[in-house]
Amino acid sequence: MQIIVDHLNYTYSKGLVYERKALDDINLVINRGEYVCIIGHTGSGKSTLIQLLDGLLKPDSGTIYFDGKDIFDGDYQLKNLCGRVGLVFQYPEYQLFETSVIEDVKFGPRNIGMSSLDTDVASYEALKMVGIGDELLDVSPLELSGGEKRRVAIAGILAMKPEVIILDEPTAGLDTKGRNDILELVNRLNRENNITVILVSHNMEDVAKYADRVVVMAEGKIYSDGTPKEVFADYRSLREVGLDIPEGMYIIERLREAGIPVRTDIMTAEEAAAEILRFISEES
Amino acid sequence: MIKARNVAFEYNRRDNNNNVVSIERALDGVDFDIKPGEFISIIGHNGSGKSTLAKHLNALITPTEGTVWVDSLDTSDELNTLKIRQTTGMVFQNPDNQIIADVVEEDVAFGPENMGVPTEEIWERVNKSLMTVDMLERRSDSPNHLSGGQKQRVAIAGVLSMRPRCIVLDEPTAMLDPAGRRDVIDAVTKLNKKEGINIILITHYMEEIIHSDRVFVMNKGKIVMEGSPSYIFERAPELEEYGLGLPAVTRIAHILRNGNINIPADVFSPDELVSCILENLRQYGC
Repeated sequence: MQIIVDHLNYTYSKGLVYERKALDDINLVINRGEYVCIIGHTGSGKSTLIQLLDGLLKPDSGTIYFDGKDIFDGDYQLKNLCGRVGLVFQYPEYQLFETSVIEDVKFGPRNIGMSSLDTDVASYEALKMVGIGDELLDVSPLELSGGEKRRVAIAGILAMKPEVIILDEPTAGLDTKGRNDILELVNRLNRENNITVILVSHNMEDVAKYADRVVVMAEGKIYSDGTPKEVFADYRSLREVGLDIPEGMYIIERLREAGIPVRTDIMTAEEAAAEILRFISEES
Repeated sequence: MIKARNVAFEYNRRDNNNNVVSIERALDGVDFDIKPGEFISIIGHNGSGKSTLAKHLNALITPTEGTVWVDSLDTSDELNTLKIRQTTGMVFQNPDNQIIADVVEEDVAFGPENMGVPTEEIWERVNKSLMTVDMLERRSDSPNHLSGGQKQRVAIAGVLSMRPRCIVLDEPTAMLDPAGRRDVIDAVTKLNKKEGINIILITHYMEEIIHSDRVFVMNKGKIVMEGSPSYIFERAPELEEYGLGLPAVTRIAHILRNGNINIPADVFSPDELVSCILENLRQYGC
């Protein structure tokens, strides 16, 4: 149990007219090496939760344990946490600020106190991992394409050698290729480097394809939690909280409701199509 | 309504001494004619020239070579700029960058007020614009308390209140969640079908192009494909070459068609596809 979220509560604008409860008694356990997707309608509390996980906000009550230690305890060094739990914000490319790609990536590790040599090595390796070639190291980050900028921003987090990486909609605004590049990268970090991944996404197709586990948030609470298949099986209740399921799964569910006994262990559009073809050819 | 002939646009990269170090051709020989009332979608991967093209449509930038006419007015002639911007309104990706007032209705009133519209008529326009995008109830709220999709609809109302005949939307849904995206696309579609306003929608999301009359696919600064949504969707391998993927429903429909299942070309929504599959099953006697 790498992360334990224990009875976590958080309220925005406490004591003002705009007071709004963002998180309401959240309990969650995330294990090392898991790939967890958090989904939910805008305002469901996803972003608040990930900011708390990174120690950027302090809860009203309840706490989070990282590796057995209470991160909101007065003695806990929060500075250590931000290297171990890396947070990639939405549109991280807006936060690139250095004069060259390599300098931008070095900022994080340097800041958490890595030695100069370790910083150089970690930054170089991180850029390699995200597929940024040597020819771009000394280029200004502003001259890169949108997808490249985003990969540089992710490298800036990876250079701190995090054990957990949290990404808030890492594919927003990217085209199909840029989106696939980022998702394949995150998947590799999880499978090959055993980094725990917590990914916030609106794209249900991507969630179904990559996640081990899906946590659905609604109105500051955890609405459901399970494998993609378990969570997406109940598309009606997901619709009630403003979420869609992957279209392939939706079509399969609708066919079953119409009394067609197609298999339900379907995740992707291609699997759905293959199953429908199989069923029709066997029946006719 | 809008005509482009042989349009090219170059971005120059300059060094500290203002010498040109490299030239990038963002648009390269673009031709098109957009008729009054048409709904056009423009798709293409990042850097294909979509946004550069959009900015030509209301004279935010003017061509390096060739000509763009909006309502027969040449956009390169500065005397036409004001008239062109009143004809063609623009909505951008990030709603937070376009909303300026503290109250929703004031934001919508900003445009007509600036154009010198009499006060009474301003209110009339604000009412109607907010009603069209279904945001009338939130008229006295602060934009800060709106969701992304609601803000984007306020931004559209702000453009509508200037009574443009054409609205260009540059990835208006890129930063929104699925519900917000749906509301914005519904509002845009309504503007086109009910009010007859020309819509030019630039998007990454293939499922958003299904309401358009024509789709332009851009690659390397050129329009490389053009046609109805179903025409475009039938050309999956070609789209892939341009870095574009098909929506899930279209992919499923494709595979089924290749398996000799009868699915009409204009099936885009999951519910339509389900009815089609059921219809096929009935014919097979299942």
